Amino acid sequence: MSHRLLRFILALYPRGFRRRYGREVQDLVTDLEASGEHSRISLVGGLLVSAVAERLHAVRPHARLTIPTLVVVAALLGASVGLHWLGSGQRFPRASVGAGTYLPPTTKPSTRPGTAQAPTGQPPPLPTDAAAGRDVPPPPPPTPYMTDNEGSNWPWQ
Amino acid sequence: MAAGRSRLPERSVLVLTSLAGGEKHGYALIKDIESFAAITLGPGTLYGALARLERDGLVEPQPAEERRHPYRITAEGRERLHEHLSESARLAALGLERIAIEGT
Repeated sequence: MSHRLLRFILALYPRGFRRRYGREVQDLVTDLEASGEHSRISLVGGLLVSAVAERLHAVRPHARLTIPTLVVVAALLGASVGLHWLGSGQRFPRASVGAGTYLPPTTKPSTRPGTAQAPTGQPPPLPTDAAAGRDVPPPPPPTPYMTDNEGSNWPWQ
Repeated sequence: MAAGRSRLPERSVLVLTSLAGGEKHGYALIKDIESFAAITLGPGTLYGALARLERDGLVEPQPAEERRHPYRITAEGRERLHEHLSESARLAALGLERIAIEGT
């Protein structure tokens, strides 16, 4: 295992643990690798899992790292990475909008002479799926905001 | 088991059992535990257990030999290990007895 990789993995441990045992862990990894009985992958995997366990222990001293905990941590990491990827990329610029939500295309005022459209107050025409040759279904009517006493059936009002 | 004391985790029992046979450094601990329990502890797991045992005063570090750092079980560590193993032996005897009764 390269010195740089080992230092990177050790950096994932809590600072107190790293300062007290980092050197010893480093020496032990060197010994285990030299013995040839431990593969690099198993050493790296073990060190990473232990880093999560030590972080967890630093937050909750009596917590134990179990398989479900690992699964939850991995799922949260995956979700955060996925959301970050969706949010930062240009691939899905409206990632925060739920699937199937109709969003009318933004209309820019034309700058060409004679093509300017006067504001009519009407919604823009529905987009047509030209490739499929069918209209996109119209959006559902918007839900009106409800005031305190408007249309409420709550028994205490 | 004494009231108010949390049960020792399995890896801590393995480390204490190994150190009960004499002081050892990390590599010797891993090899010894492999030999008597057929369990291979990783470096992070081993030092995680040692960190908690040292914090609880059950093991103590010894002066470094070259670049190796041996650890030794303390008197309190022996006492805790004795309690734990006695309780485990009691449970094992009870379980074996019940299995024998069920089998007859």
